[in-house]
Amino acid sequence: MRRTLAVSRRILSQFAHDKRTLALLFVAPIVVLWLLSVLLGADAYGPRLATVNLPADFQTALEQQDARVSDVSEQEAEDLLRNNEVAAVLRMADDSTLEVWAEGSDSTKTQAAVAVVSAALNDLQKDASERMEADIADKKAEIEQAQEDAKAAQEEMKASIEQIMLALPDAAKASLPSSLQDALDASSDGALSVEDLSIDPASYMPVQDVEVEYLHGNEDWKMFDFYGPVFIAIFLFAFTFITSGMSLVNERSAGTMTRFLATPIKPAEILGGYAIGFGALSLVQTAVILVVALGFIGFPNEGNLALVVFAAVSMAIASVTLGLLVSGLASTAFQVIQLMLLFVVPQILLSGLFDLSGAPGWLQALGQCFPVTYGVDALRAVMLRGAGLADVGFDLAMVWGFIVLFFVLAALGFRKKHAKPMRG
Amino acid sequence: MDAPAAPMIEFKDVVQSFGRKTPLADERRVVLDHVDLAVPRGSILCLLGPSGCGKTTMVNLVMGVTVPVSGEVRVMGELAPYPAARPRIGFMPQDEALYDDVTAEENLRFFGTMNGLAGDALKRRIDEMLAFSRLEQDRRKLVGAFSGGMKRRLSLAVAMLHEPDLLVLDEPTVGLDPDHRRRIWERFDQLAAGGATLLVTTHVMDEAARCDSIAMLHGGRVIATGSPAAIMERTKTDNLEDAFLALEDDAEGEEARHA
Repeated sequence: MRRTLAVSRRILSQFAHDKRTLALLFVAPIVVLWLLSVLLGADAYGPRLATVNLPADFQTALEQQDARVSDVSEQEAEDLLRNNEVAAVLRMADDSTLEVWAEGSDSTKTQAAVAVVSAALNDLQKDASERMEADIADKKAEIEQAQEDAKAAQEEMKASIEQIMLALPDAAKASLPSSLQDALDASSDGALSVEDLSIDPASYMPVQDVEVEYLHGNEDWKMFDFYGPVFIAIFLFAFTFITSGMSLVNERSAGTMTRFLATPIKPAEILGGYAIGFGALSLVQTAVILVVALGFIGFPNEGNLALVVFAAVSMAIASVTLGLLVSGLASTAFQVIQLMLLFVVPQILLSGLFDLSGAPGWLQALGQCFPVTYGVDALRAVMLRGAGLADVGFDLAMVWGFIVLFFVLAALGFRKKHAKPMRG
Repeated sequence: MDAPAAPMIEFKDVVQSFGRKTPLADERRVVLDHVDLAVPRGSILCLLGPSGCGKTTMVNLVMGVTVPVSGEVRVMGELAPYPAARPRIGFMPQDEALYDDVTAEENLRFFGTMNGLAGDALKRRIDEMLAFSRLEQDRRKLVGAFSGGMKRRLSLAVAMLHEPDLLVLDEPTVGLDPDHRRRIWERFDQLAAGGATLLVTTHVMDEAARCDSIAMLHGGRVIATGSPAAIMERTKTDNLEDAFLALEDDAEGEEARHA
């Protein structure tokens, strides 16, 4: 144990003397996280659209959306589209069909344009259905009036017929058909009810409005808030991989590794020392990143801060052990960077940075084979959903499982040479 | 295994080669060709020979950095990785093998701890070795700022720090002033007198002349062993350089006859 601690102490001392690396270790992640927060935290992208002879109502609805809309001629619209100055041209294909002519090279812009169009259509529909209801109400009133007029005329007619009948002699009364009396009695309640005319829009459009409730977070959460925890995890992982891998490559090229292995130290002590040294370094790095990210940049954190720190440091230790395991493949610092592209970037891509639910099954399965995926899961659960230890226990256990696996494999790679005794 | 009769270092019919045979070419290169050698306790043995003759290969075998293709290398009666003997060996590799980005003192403390020193004993030995290396003024300086000679002295101090019974020194005095060189060789003599064994490689003849015995290497083979005086007598020369050249000629002549 004393040797292990001496190794970690030496590593920390090396960093303490190397002010430039130390500064980069803290400044670089903070600058990048801040930049990302500005980029991803900005209001949603409003596409530029060109419109050609749209119905006035639709034009108005479009202009109320989060987009920059310009009404231009057919020729101008085409030029704008070809120069990539607008994301799409909107024009009428026939009397009732809208054509969206998208620039198409940037799918984000196309999607944004389509989203604006459908939002505008939605508003237009809401207006239209309100106008329809108003029209129906007017018609209903007209009909009601007409019906009341007719009823009054009928009552008048009925009264005059009754007067005529009263004036008739009884014999003549008896000779009248009974149907006339029936007709007189019925006429008062045979009228068509106006209520039957009313239209309930709900029977045509079961959903007419949308209201959003938040289980976690609120409507102010931007894209960045979802990615924040991922970026913290990725930073710690990539930085620790590079620094630990390089430190080992430097030991090999400076010859200190040979001297180091010529002492009675055991492989597990070397690796333990590295893991503790870089673990301690990443603890400080995590603390600095979190103070800046939560305090100044404005990351959300719904969960226990200690759990966030523990998850982040676990990620860093997983990265050290992976770095030590694969750095044997590198003989120069440059190759460590190349190894990072091979061993770390795929993990980042499959970690949950992108939604994999639509990806092929084997890719999703592959994503489950990397420690970064579990670390990102745990950090997201704690920071965004306020999960406790019980909820992220599995993720953290997986990360530590990878640490043990990498540690054992790396220790085997460090084993000292065993000579065979001579035969005979 | 640490029988008193066993020599400190023993090479038995050791063959070492590098490279491998591929379908395209046979890239195996024999570096040590059936070497036998014994280094008795309490003596200084010098491996003498031109660059590329296999000196460093022998040092790496003694340190267990590599293991032989065939034959046996025993240190204090043990085979690599020397479970019991390891803490009693001090090693100074040919390259500096120091941490440039920490101080001289931190280097000593780190390797001292690796070799099992701790507490006051470690502090005392660090002070002693800094004094011996004449680096007391520079103990808190980063090794990266040291001159070549200072690094060499520190590297030797690291090897001697834990007072090992066996010191394996690969070209210990390269790049040192005559003054430092003399002091260091005096210390080697003291250590040997105190019972330590030293294996030193060099290609400097006057250093070889100070050793108890010399093993002359040529083309991966030991072409002569014995005390400097015995070697000079056998070759009827009056200095080691002439003796070495004479032995080299003999060895090449023999190879030619075999070929």
